Amino acid sequence: MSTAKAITLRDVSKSYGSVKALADLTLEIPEGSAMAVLGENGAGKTTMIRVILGLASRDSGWAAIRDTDSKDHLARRRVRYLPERVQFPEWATPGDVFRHIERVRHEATPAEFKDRAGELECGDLLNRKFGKMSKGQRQRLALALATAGRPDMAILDEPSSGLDPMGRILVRKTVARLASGGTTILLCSHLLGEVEQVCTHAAFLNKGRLVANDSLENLSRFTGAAEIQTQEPGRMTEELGRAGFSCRTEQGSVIAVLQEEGTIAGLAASAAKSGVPFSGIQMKRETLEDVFMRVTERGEQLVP
Amino acid sequence: MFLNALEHLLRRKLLTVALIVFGVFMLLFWWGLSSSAKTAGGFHNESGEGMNGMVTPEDKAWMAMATAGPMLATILIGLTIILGASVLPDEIASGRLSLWASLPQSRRSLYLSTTLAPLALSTALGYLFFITAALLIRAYFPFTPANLTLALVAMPIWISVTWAAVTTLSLIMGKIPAMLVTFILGGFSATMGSIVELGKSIPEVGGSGIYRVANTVTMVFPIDRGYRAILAGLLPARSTIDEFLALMGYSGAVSPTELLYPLIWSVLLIFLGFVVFRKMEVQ
Repeated sequence: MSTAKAITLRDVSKSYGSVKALADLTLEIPEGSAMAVLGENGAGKTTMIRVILGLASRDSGWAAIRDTDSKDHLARRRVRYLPERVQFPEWATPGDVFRHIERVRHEATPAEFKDRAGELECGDLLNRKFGKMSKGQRQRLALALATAGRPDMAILDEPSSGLDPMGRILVRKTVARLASGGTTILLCSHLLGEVEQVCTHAAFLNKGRLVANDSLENLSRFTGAAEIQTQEPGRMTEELGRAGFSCRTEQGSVIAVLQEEGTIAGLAASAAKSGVPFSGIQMKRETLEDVFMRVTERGEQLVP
Repeated sequence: MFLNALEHLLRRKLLTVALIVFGVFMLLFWWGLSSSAKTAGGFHNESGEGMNGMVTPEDKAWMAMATAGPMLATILIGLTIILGASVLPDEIASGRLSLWASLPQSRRSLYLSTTLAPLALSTALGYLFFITAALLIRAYFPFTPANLTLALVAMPIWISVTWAAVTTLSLIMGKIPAMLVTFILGGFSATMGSIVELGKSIPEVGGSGIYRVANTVTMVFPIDRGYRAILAGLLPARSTIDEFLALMGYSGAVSPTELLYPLIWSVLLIFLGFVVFRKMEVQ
């Protein structure tokens, strides 16, 4: 991941009447990173995206894509956007819409679009009218249209909206493939499991303010326990208990209480010494859902 | 984006319906022309005696064009209102605008390309409608148009008034109210335009209060000058009944400079629409 900034927001404020949608928001997204923007409904996520893309004006502050002011349309070159609610003309086919889009952006070939649609298992729908498609089919094609070729940046607002589990898996794979190919990802999603699998960083918004911004690893706290994967959890619990660790079994694994992160080495040594075979040992950290609850419900701030 | 907008318009069923209506009207018009060409025709005096010798083919062409004109104008203005409110307002209402506005193109480019397409299409249809009618008339009653260049130049200017109004109003008040307001204003202004024509021919009308009101209305919404310039350009050069038709509001007296006002009016209004669009928050 490079240190260059793909997106910069500096003290950006935006109000709709008396409602403050963004309040002095400062955020930098490094090039090549996969950043999730999370928050409750109305937290300002979509407004932030719209300001970045120049679709909405800002009251104050500065927003830029690769150091070009987001008000300048040239900032949007090789930047792709999938809106939350995407609509296509009922009479048009995906092929028509791709042709229309490419008349303006000149960034992808029909073959690249076909490939992306194939990845999303909707390659057979390219000549069918949108009016004759299901919501899920439209959504997958919308993602294929938005990400065809090799974009530098993809801003995706709820890309899995309205999709069945298989559709979500396909979307996740496509986003992960883009991220691994070097595309900067800015993802808004309420599916925290999806975010955990795809993104490396997350920013949390609450009432238009940035309340947390870090790597997923740094955001999730040590829970005071470690998990040991073993085929013999009962025996392992017994052996570790003898070694002085307080343990319990949970869903076929052994959970050992640790006073601090550094003591995991001692736990590993004791587990190895016990002679009970085990396949792995890891610190138990908060899930993204735990972090979400902490910063949105309990109002904890994880930014200076 | 201009081609996208044009394709969007060309694929509409509305266009097919309009062309069918035009085709049916032209068939009826052709039937009427061929019937009148076969019969002796002409005016009759108060005692019922024929005055055929006084009616030239140019006069008949005059009358035929004056008959076809309002019908063609009605279809065309209706189409311009619907097409003008179709691309940009439709994209805004459907939420598709964010897709186009997020592409690497300026708001100016997006605005011009999506709004110029309906103007181009309506103008092309205008040429098709009026030139077809003129050629059909000419096939039965040979005539030379008074000023074909004037008619050709006046066409886009005439259409641009309706187009600019419906485009800008739809950005301010929404699609349906904009269509209704433009339609009502257009009809009102066209009627007032006839009174202005009468005022030019009859001094008593020219000095009246209603003439001043009519003149003001045609300045506020200058749809009238362009239409009359098209007719003035297409109508026969050597007709003997100009004065008679002036009473019906079809004076041939339109100077090319009179087209400047509706042209400037349209440019200013469409620029106002751009100012509104540039500040618009795209949803």
